[in-house]
Amino acid sequence: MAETPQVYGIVAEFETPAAAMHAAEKVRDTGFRKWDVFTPYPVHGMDKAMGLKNSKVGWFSFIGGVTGYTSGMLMIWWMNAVDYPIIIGGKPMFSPFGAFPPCYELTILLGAFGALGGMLFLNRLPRLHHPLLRNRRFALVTHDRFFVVIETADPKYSETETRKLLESLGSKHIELVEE
Amino acid sequence: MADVVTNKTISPAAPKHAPSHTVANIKVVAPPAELAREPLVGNQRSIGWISDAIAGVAEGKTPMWWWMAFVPSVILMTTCFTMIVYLVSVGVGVWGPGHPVMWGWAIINFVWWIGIGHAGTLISAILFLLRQKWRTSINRAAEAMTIFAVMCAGIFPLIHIGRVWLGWWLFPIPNSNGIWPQFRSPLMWDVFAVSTYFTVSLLFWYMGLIPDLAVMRDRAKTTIRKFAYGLFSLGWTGSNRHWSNYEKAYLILAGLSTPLVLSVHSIVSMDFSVSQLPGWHTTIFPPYFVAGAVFSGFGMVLTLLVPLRRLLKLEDIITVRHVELMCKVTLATGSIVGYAYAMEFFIAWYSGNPYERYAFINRAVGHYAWGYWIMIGCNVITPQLFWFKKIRQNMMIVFILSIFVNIGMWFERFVIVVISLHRDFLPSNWGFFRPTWVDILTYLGTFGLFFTFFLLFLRFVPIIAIGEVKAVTPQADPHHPLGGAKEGGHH
Amino acid sequence: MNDDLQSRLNRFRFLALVSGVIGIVLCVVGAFINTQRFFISYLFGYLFWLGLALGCFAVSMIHHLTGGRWGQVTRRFQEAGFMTLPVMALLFVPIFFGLKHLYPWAQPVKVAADTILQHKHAYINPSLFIMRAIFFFIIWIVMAFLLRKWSLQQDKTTDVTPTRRLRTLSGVGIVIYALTVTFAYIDWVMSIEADWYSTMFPVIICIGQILTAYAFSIMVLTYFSKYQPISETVTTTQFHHLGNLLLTFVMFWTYISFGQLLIIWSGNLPHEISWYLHRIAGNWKVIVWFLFLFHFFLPFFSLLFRPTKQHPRTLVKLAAIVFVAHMVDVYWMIAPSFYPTGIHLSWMDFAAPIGVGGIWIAIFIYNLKGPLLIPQNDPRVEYSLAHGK
Repeated sequence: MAETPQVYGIVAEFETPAAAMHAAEKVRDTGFRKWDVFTPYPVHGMDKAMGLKNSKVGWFSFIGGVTGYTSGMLMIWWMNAVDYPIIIGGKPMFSPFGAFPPCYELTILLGAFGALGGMLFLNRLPRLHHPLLRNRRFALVTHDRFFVVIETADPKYSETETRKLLESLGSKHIELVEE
Repeated sequence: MADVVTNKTISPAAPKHAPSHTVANIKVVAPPAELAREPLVGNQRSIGWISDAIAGVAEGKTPMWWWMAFVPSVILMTTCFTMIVYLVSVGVGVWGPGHPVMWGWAIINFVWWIGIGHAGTLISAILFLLRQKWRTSINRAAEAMTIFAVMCAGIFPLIHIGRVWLGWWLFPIPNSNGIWPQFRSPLMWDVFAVSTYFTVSLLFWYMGLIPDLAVMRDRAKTTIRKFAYGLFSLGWTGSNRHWSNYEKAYLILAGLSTPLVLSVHSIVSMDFSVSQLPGWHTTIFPPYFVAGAVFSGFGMVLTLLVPLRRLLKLEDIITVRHVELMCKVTLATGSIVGYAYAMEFFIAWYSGNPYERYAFINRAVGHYAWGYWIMIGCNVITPQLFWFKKIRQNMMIVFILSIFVNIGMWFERFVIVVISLHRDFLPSNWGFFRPTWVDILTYLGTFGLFFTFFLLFLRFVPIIAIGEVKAVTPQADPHHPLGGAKEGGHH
Repeated sequence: MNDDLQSRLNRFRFLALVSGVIGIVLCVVGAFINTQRFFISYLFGYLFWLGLALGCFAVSMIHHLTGGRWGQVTRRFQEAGFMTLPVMALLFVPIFFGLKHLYPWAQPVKVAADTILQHKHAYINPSLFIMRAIFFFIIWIVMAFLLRKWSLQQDKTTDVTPTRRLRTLSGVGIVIYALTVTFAYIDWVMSIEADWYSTMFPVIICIGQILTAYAFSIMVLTYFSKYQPISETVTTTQFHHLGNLLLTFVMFWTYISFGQLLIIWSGNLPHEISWYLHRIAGNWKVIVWFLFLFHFFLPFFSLLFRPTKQHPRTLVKLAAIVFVAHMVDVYWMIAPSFYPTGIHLSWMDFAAPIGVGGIWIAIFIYNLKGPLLIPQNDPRVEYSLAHGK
């Protein structure tokens, strides 16, 4: 072997959501930081088991929505009441009633972009490559298996200790994944 | 390194059939038989089975019936495009509208298609917020339906403006005339509403697809599929840190889509109701249009899914209970629509306004009375049959009734657009409307467009939200015995 | 129900009854001082509390149809609320004597001068008005008694027949509710303005009633959650759900109110826009801003956030705000028709709602005593408990 590839982390496989959640609680309590649980669907209560804080996506959406509403109102006011005012249907040049529907739509449009964009940004997606995706066994994560992954970059990581911990949590299949 | 299995040495794992853990001897607390809710996924399927069943639809060999549906759809779609080319090259005179019915089939079809689109967002967003878990089996297909229906709808306003190449004047983009769009007009509101609706529906749909495209990626056998699904799944790994943000974003999108779906058809209704024409100018229009849209949308979802669950062997996922629940929504919204018809009629009389009164009497007994009575028959009477459980559970009857709903809702827009316009305030403004062959073929052609896209969707994308269906099964719940929790375990 | 709660309720009922009687006596005095003024105030006070009773009626049927844990803990409150309907029917009687003070169609001089009123006369005239009102109250009371009866029956048996009956009745009942309220409020409120009409208006009334009922349920539930047996059952989940429902109906109210405004404003037809012109004239604008802020803006934006809904103390404040704002809304729907230039407050505008409300609350508390505060044997409760949180 000319070069030993860097090890990305240790992967422990679990068969039930309860086992994975139990493992997550233990890993959290042990004090690991660079680790994650991988599941085929969002497991209810896993955020708490991992000790995650409330997601920040909401702020992105909120900023998007506020931008949409104010820019819509300003745009309509400027276009119809300032830059080129024309009297139509006896209505005022600018009225919040008439301007409301398009501004409302813009609020939702930019709010939605904020939510999706915020989610992708916070998750650092899209990415075309991930060490775990090369692992054949890991492909089961989208099928019916649950994985706990602890990265080697974690200061508490130690190959034997971490492995023992995961074994004690009931994982039947543990392996190392290379970078 | 001796005892460590590296990823090079393991044998290829088989994400294959056979439930991964047995569920046989675990007791589940059963609800009393009388009001037992049927499980959302039939026959206690494992979560692996769900992947196999759903992804299998897009992976297997293309069935014969698919081709038999696809070929005519493509032909129809081509007809639609041919008609559009003809219309653009000759002019809108090839259509039926003329004085006094200046709005004809184009607007009817537009409102009809966009109404159908509403069920998708309703199922996805509102039922999500209401925590109605049964939605997971049908939301993907319904969202896809929304997008394709809005595409069909979007064609009509664009081509009916006559000089299609100036369509960009609808947007607030500086042009050489220096005039801006006129935001006091509801037609301008419509531009914003429909384009927002299309975009947000697409985002919502795509976001729901990301984890499922990852499922497809991980199951793909060929390099091309692996690459394509890999590209569109954006490198999804199922990380719980990702799920956490993902769920929040999904919740927000659902929260945004709910007022959106209410606003879109409300704004469409304002195309009519902010005018002063009797039959158009009435305050109940926004909620009445929304209810009608949901009604027609659920009608179309039933029309599509009742045969599909059979053809694709998905009866365990789209169960009879799902069909029943959709029938109930149809009943509820159909009743609201019936209420609105009655109110319009009563208030037209109550108002003491002779023009109002005439507009409604003319609907019921005038030249186009047949259109009005088809509408009443299909939209008011048909859904009332869904009060009966026997009817809700008979798939054949549900399918037939759902088609009546689609027909009725088309006639509702016919009644509103054509009957109201053909008798104006002055008898000199009276006339009739007759569609031309171009009108008819363009409308039929949009079915081709709709079904072509829908069939492609069936072949290439998981038609049911795999991750979401998994999440509602008992074995997905870490606090449930089937999910591995000890009996009487934590919580 | 424990003794502490029992004695508190007794005291509260006594207070309500006393203030109710005082309010009513003051109203009677007022009727002799200024008869028309009395009827305006009384109609307002009465319709607000009737709206709450009808809202409770609708909400309990919604719950029978849809289920949901929020309803198990609040159902008895809603039942106690709609069981005030028989007494509310009696309290409607004074209005029969005030028709010509309230409604233009009951004043021969006005009818003679207005062709539209003549046209409507076949439908809306004093005798038909009274007959329709009696008819609506009979329907409501019969349905209310059935809903209550079957609900109490279910407490005593594990047989699910009562629940099944409740569901069937509620399915039909919600349709009947919508139709009866529609025609009742066309008579009672819409017809105050001679020529005005709006197809949306009855919908606004229905939504407003349901909204008040939810706000009221939250307030009562919060109070009772300190005492057994509610304290053992109620969790933040129920408050969260109720908060979501409150938010939903605040949104609905805003949506249809704005929809009606936008359509009438755009059409700008004289016989339609006059309704709004009366309601923004002079210092009525203050009320419009009040409604914008407290019927929509504040509750809407606060309820968007999850912590607000999960924290009963905050939620109950918002519910109270919505409750009061809706009272103002009912006032704003009625009074400007008589004072189309600006607010004309009278002490009777306070005496009437306190009088009717005091009696309403006294009956409400009376109805709460006796049956168990948590409905028993509801098949769906066991189901939801068995399936965990």
